[in-house]
Amino acid sequence: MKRWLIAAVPALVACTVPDAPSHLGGYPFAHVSGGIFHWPANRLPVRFWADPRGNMNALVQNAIDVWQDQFMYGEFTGVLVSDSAHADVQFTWSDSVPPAVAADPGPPVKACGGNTQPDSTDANGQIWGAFHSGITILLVGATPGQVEACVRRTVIHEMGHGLGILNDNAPDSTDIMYFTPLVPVPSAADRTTIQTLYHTTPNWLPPVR
Amino acid sequence: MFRTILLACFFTSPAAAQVSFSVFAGVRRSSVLVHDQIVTAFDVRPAVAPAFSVTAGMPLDLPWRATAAFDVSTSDVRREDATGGTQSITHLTTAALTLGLSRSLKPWLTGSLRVGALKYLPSQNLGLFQDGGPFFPFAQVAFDFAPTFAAEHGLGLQINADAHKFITDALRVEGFSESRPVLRLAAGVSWTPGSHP
Repeated sequence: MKRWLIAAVPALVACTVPDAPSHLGGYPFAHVSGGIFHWPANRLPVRFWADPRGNMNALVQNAIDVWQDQFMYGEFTGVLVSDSAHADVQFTWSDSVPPAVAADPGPPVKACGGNTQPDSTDANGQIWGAFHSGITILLVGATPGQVEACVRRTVIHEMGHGLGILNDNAPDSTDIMYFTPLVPVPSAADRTTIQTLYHTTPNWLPPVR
Repeated sequence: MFRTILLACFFTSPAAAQVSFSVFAGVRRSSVLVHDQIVTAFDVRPAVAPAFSVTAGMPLDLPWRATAAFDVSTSDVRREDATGGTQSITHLTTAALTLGLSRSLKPWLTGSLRVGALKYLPSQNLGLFQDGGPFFPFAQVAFDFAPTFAAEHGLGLQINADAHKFITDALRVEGFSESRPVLRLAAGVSWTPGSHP
């Protein structure tokens, strides 16, 4: 009986030892001013509005799904809303609207650009107004499929800024948050970075609704 | 057709007359499903959940009975931060089918041992359940207390505990290499219609 107990107790202890992964390998996410921001739990789901022109709606929904899949523990959820006045993040075409076609699976072509910023921030770290993400089509002679692939990854990249990665410091071209996104989905470093951000205490407050 | 014949044979057989049913309603507490650390440590576990089960029992050689049970419980699954904060991840239902044996241990106490399959059914394929809800084999032990005054009405108190090992495909992708033992404890009231004199 005693021998059974001696064998059973260490086995039981071994069974319950946590095997949490390291979660290392991210990159800096703070704003150049030192600002740290993420959407707090009481503001989920984050509300996104997409320009009704072209296929922006599908592009934003795809980006929401892609970023949601980077989280394991309910840190971020997003939803598309039809009223821009009640959105936390707005996605618009800055000028021309490309045709909705299948994305070219070939090598990436920089056929578009993007920009994301809130209306304003103040000295107390309060963000005012919605985040605005604009997508620009560049005149580089790219095929419609190459443009579609570019805007697809750029919308994911800009949404990364809207979620709180407030710089373009991703060091590797395999990261979706590299200053020029060249990959279709977030890398392991992007994943670690956004997870770490959402478990870090922010010093910027979310916009007042 | 075959199923109809089988059911007809069963319900007209002497065995069918001896099959008894009992229902259970109570609450269930689960141990931690996941322990992780991203900046700070936190746990993931289902909230205290209402639990319900239906059990069919058929007598074997005394004092044994064969049992088959369907068990369900439902609650939010939450992240519990070290700071005390909680964040709901999604709503989770667990459903289990078991087969087992039970026997009377005392005139007022019955013990059961069951094995079966446990299915996690998240309301959304999200987070650690983004690849859906997994199946796990599990084992359960249950004790039914029926003091004389309650037994007269077919009522009893039941405590059951079960164990399984938990992991999901998404957790494997995240870097978890081993499943985690999960213990669940439920307590509540059972009722066996027609069992009282």
